[in-house]
Amino acid sequence: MFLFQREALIISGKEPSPNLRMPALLLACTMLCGLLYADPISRVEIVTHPGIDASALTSSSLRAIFSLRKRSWNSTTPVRVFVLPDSHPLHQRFCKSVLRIYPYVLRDQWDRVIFSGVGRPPTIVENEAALRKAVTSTPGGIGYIATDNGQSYSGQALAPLTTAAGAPP
Amino acid sequence: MKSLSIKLYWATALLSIANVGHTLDYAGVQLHGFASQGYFLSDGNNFYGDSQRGSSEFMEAGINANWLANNKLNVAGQLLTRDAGATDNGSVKIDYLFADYKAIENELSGLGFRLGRVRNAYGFYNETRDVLVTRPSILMPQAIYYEGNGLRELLFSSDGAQLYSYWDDSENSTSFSLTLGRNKSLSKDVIANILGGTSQIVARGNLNYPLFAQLSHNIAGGRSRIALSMFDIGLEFDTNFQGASSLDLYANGYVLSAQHNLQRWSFTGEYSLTTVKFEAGQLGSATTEIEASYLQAKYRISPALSVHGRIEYSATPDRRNQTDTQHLMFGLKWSPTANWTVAADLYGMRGTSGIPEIDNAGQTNERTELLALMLGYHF
Repeated sequence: MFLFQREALIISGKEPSPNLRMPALLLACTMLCGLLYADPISRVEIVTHPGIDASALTSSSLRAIFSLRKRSWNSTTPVRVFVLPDSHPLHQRFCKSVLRIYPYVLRDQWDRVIFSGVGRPPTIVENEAALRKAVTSTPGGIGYIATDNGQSYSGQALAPLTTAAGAPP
Repeated sequence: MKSLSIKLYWATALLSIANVGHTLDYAGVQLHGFASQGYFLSDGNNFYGDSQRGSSEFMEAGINANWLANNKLNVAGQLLTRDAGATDNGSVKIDYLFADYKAIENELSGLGFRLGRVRNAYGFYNETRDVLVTRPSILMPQAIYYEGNGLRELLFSSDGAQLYSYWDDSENSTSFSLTLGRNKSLSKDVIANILGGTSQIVARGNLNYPLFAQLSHNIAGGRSRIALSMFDIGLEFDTNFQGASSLDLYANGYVLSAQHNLQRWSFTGEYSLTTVKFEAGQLGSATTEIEASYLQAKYRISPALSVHGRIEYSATPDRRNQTDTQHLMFGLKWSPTANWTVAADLYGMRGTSGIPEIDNAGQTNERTELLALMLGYHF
């Protein structure tokens, strides 16, 4: 299981490695937000099915995936997007911090796809445990999880999940 | 057909009760649906039924399925029933049904084809205009989307082929779609909507070579959106009228659309210029232009509650005084849960463009005040 690290590092306030540099202003703002609010969700991480090499994912490819434009990982594997309900705090955090899209703008894009048939709608699952289960059991699956203060869910009987390298102590 | 539409309505309602608000997915087929019921009370003119006495003749329901055949091929279809006074009769229609083949895809761009009955890209809202939750208000902006005067049937879908493509970079996404429809004959209802009283002399009508194209650009994941849409259609009517055995109508139009989204505010504006040319044999020909625009602001009081206002204007430029129509609208939308929508809109209309003629027996007044309420469910 791959954990997408760049956004997670930014959200947790850790210094990104040199090849993961983001605009300084965004980083500063995000770190400031982290200091101002004692949010139980300290990190948002992208999770994918073990068969997916997600190392090349960038902000724009994540937007293309979660806006439902990008539909396949390679010549044989379709992208399967799993998300939490719109009102879930982790979904809102994911939209704002990782995709940098207002949640309602993303919902408008999904509704256009859902009711005009021009793409594969995301699958909404009720909670994080169900989301992790769906992603790990669906070839091509992608979703997101929260880790609390750097504690990955990998400690909770989900062997395929590993912590992000260099997780804070 | 009426009883069938009622059955579909209840089927949708039952499905929604069975569903707990999360995606329905059976063997790789996703199901979604919607149903909404309106109540209109008006003064001046009727809007969808006898609304001057209170009308509930505005209902929409649909159910769609989306099947991922493989990573390149997707099949999607939607059944729709819609009742809108005398302008729509509640019969069940195939709203869209197409195979979607994504021929090329890489990290930042893609290109594909859709074949079948496809939705036309026209302005921001045409592709999902019958779903309450995706519309800006209970009634579509009349100025651009021609809801009340019969052109909606010609705008919303084409039987044919659609090419689509997009190009992304870090902060921008550009999309293009081109739809070529095949010729098809028009139903009596569509002819009556378009021609009003004149439809009595028409024996047969045909839609010829519809073409729709849209170029759109999103900045920052959709924070700002702009789009340019165009269409070109031909209509051919065989008439029983001496001196003009056929009546041909050519319509083409452009829409320029722009939207800016902030955390709580969204501002939207669309401008369209439509040219309609009539040719009636020995009776001669005439060309008329319709210019239309609207500006809309939406404010989100909370994620579940928003208020919106819109001003619309349309006119034929060379007869502005006789033809101009203005609509002013205020409304609110409340979503108590992710699936339910309650909407209330108040309209003040001056002018008769967009007023459904066949709900008013051809006698329309200059002023209309309308209170519209609607309850919708979608999953």
